[in-house]
Amino acid sequence: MAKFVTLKLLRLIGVVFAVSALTFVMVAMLPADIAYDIAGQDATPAQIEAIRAELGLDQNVLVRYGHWLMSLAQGDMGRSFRSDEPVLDAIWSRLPVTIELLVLSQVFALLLAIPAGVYCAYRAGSRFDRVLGSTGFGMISVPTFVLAIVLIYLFALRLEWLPATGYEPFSEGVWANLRTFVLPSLSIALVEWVPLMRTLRSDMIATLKEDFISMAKAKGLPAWRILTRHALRPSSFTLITILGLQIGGLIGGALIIETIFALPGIGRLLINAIYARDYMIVQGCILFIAVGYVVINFVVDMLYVALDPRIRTAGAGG
Amino acid sequence: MLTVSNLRTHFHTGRGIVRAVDGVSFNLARGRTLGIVGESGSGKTVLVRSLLGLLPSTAKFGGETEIGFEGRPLDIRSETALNQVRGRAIAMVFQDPMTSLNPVMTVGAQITESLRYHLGLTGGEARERAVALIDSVGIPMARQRIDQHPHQLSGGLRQRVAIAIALACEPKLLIADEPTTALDVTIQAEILDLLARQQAERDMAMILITHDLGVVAGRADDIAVMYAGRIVERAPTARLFANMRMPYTQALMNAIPRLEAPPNTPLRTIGGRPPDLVNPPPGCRFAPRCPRAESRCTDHEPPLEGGESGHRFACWYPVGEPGAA
Amino acid sequence: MTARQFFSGVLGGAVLGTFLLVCAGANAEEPKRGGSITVGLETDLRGFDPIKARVLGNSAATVINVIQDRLFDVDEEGNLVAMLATGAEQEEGGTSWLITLRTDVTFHDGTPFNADAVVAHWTRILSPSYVGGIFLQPMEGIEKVDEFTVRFHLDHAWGPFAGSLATPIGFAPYIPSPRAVSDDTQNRHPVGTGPYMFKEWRSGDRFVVVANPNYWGDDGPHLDEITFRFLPDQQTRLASLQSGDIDVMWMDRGTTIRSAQKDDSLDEHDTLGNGSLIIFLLNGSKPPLDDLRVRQALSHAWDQTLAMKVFYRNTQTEITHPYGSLLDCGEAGYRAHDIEKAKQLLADYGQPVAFEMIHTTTPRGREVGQLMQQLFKRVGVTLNLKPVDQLQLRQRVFTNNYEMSGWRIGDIPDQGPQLFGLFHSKSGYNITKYRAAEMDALLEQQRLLTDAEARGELLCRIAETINRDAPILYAGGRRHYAFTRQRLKGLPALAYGLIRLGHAWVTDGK
Ligand SMILES: Nc1ncnc2c1ncn2[C@@H]1O[C@H](COP(=O)(O)OP(=O)(O)O)[C@@H](O)[C@H]1O
Ligand code: SF4
Ligand SMILES: [Mg+2]
Repeated sequence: MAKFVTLKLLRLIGVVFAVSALTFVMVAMLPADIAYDIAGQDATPAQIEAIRAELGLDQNVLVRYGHWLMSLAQGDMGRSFRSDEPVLDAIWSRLPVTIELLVLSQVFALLLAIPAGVYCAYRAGSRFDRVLGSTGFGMISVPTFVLAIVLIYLFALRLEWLPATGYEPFSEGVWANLRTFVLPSLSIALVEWVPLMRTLRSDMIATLKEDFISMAKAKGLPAWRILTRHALRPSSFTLITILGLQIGGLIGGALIIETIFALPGIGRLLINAIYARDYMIVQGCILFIAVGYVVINFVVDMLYVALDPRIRTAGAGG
Repeated sequence: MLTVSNLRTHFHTGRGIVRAVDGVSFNLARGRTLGIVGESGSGKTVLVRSLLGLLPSTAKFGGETEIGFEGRPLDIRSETALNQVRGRAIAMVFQDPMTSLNPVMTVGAQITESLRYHLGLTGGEARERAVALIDSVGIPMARQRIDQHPHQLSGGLRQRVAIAIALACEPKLLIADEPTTALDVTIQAEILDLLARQQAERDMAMILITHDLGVVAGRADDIAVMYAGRIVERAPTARLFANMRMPYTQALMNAIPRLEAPPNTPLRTIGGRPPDLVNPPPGCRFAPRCPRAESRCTDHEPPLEGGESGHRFACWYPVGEPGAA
Repeated sequence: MTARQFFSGVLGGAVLGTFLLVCAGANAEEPKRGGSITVGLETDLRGFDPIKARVLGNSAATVINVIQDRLFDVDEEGNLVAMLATGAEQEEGGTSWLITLRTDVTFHDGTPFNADAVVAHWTRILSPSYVGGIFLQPMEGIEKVDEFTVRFHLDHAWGPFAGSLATPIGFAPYIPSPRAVSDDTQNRHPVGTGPYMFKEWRSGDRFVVVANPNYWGDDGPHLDEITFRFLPDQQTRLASLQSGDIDVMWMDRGTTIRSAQKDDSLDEHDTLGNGSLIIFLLNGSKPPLDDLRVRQALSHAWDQTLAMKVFYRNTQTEITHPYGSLLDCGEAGYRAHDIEKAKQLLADYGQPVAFEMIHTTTPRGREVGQLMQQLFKRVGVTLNLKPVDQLQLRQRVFTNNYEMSGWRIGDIPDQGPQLFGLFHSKSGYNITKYRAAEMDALLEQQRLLTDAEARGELLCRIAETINRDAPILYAGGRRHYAFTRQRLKGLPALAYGLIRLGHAWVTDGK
């Protein structure tokens, strides 16, 4: 186990190193730099040059990356060029939002996908299965932002159940906090449950042909118990993989949802920083996203182990 | 206690209708063992799975099919009806213990499950019963084994676990579908002995399926020989071995490996292949492979009829009688 | 009089105390005390230290406006209103100004407001480190005369001086606490003398201010708390307004404005400003745009009327000059859409005309580019479109690496400095590379003139010269829109596009 963790940690450092260097160079290669953002539209070329010199943007990329790495090694992620906010503060304040959005959206997606996938597999080819299959197909082709607008129209404007936008932290109360996450999470979940449902359905169909399912049936257990106790776990390996990929994609990729619902998450921070070439923030975000990916990978691996005892003993033996 | 009458199980596939079981009837009395023997593909598994409704939804039963169990009709088309007997009155041991146990559940969980569900035992009681069951099927260190997963056990132990699961709720009828085929030869006899012992102790009826006549030789009271979805010969065991009438049964007999034969003697297998069940040959289905076949055999189907003392066979030119030629 | 009351009072040397607050009393109802509101802003804020944050956007202006006060306020007609100053007197023919200050004001952090605070702030503003200083060039420095009097020194008599102290847009006029500045906390924890005090800033999410119990003014603060929330998407911002999650928002998209107008539960506020939301720069240093006839032909090919419909659903109006509500210059020789004239001018030029326009990758940018391309095609001009991102567009304009580009003219109390920047041949901000001795002379003259009427006439002549030489094309003026929930009252006109909440109150307050 210790070896496993060390290996993961080494990989993490490698990934962070490579990803941070790559983003640094990529941001530097973008046309124009932060000076044009900072100076605004009412500046002279001379002033822009002055800002550039002040921020050290006239230095070579490698030198700048070196500086950044050195500061990072001392635990200093720097400050935003734009707002002067410490990068760590900026990320730290947005991390809970991103994590909550990720978790809730995937919980909603699973709440939809698992019963639907299980039932469709159990009644594969039935009317219900076909209707759900084409509903899923339809939903996945609706852009997230359209779904979001429809949900806002229904639940915020028509029914007035939930706020249209905004974010309340946990400190304002659990319900106040959850209310602000329902629509954004649903907007993501209503798209992302589809691939989850499909993989679960097809894996489940395969599992249901297994002998041990016949065995369970021969025991006289009711269908729901066979589906949930016997078939679900062995059918959920691909599901977990897809789930991991989706969460990974959402760490920095929930941008549209964060923008529409005005959630102060990492995605919005990152994209605004990219537009502004605020590379301190970009680097900080990328760092967290890379760490996030590795952590999710680790969690997924751990989940496999939890779900499949065969891996567990193999790991214990080695 | 079990009456099977005119069981037809047909699979509706893209290729056509597969007549996997095509008009099988038999009776089984309490405490007795019926051996069902036949080549691979002859419909043995489909036959017994039909009794427990363990077939995919492509399987359809014939209209005249009637099953009776313990004096009452058993509707094998109804899950609810089947769930009344599954696990409780009728239990089953499958061919391959590598695939018939759930890989992600502990041995204990798989045994206690039916105990808790059917008998309403609490966790602790069920666990004690499970330990006792594991012990009774001859697995040492039952208390440790109960928390292990199937992949931590050898094939033989797994099949013992499967038997323990089947026996958990004291069934009246145990169906064992080739329980030793997937196992190492050295332990086949142990498993068969275990089954025989349990049957005797619990006074169960048993259907023991095998493709090897040798396996059922000393262990079944009656033997039914299946070919291409039908029973082609049926007799009390001793009778059958003393006087086998179907050329197919004889061919099966010859296929048994004999210990007294000198090493490297090639096994005498049956020439040709079992027929396509979508378009079975007319007349006697064994005719294309039968050394005794005559034109009558392909023109008319032989009925399953009796010689003396419950010996029945379906053949126009049975072994021991002169052929047409 | 073509020019309206253009700082006439100030320029006449009168004491400002005699000017009345224009907005106070405009509302017949008596304000209620208490309650709170939520304001939807488009973007997060950068900060409140002029040198660190550098640029004060529209969102930040809404916030700073309730936290920090200015020496003067200015209404939408350009009238000055006293705030932290009590009077202004010009000296030595307008090359210096004596400003007297209120004596009863304290910053939120307890620091007294006095001449030192004003001098400390303006010294930073006039230092080279402040970017926004380009339009303040004639200002030389500031000195303390006594505890509550300061003197500004100017290069020369300068018409826009008073307006520069009063404009609500830009950092310069807003006086911060000198202690917060020297402690380096002003940027993220602003301290001023305004009706509301900083409470909390959750980056990317919200900014909260609370009533200042010691406010020096008598109209406000009426609310206990104002929460500014950052809602980047205009459509969902409107949904939040409609559902009552926010009480007020600013808008600039035609479709959103039109749908907000249909909602009876919302109050509309709109104010005509000056400047231009979109102009097009025609780079006079790049052939074929260096030829006067080509630029003139393009301005005839351009169809502002159509653009108003396409870009804004007619929520903005056409303009012929950049002075909006400040000055009435009439047609000012504007080159209306006229395909024949355009073709004639191009025939006169005699060569095929093809060049490139850069526009932003946003939907608005693309829409603008495509319309322009179609209009130019009708007169036989090939316009190549090059989408670039916002910063790249700025870079290309500032480094003179473009032929045609979208830009804007800010809404400020006096357009003089901005036009000087854009069109004077020696200006560091001359991004059109337009050079004309006549224009230089006019621009220099208007700087020195302090008589409002005469200056107004000069500014109109500048507008005519712009139309004649066509260094830019106009795409509408600036009409500012905001929508509020009906409970919110006490909002003055949106002068310079700013939502001023200093006097706001709610009907469900105490
Ligand atoms: N699900 C199914 N669909 C179609 N045909 C099947 C299916 N299951 C079994 N069969 C066919 O039924 C016949 C009998 O199979 P089976 O009962 O497994 O034979 P045995 O157990 O005697 O070896 C075979 O020809 C097989 O191909
Ligand atoms: S009926 Fe004919 S073909 Fe069939 S088994 Fe008997 S002899 Fe052979
Ligand atoms: Mg079989």
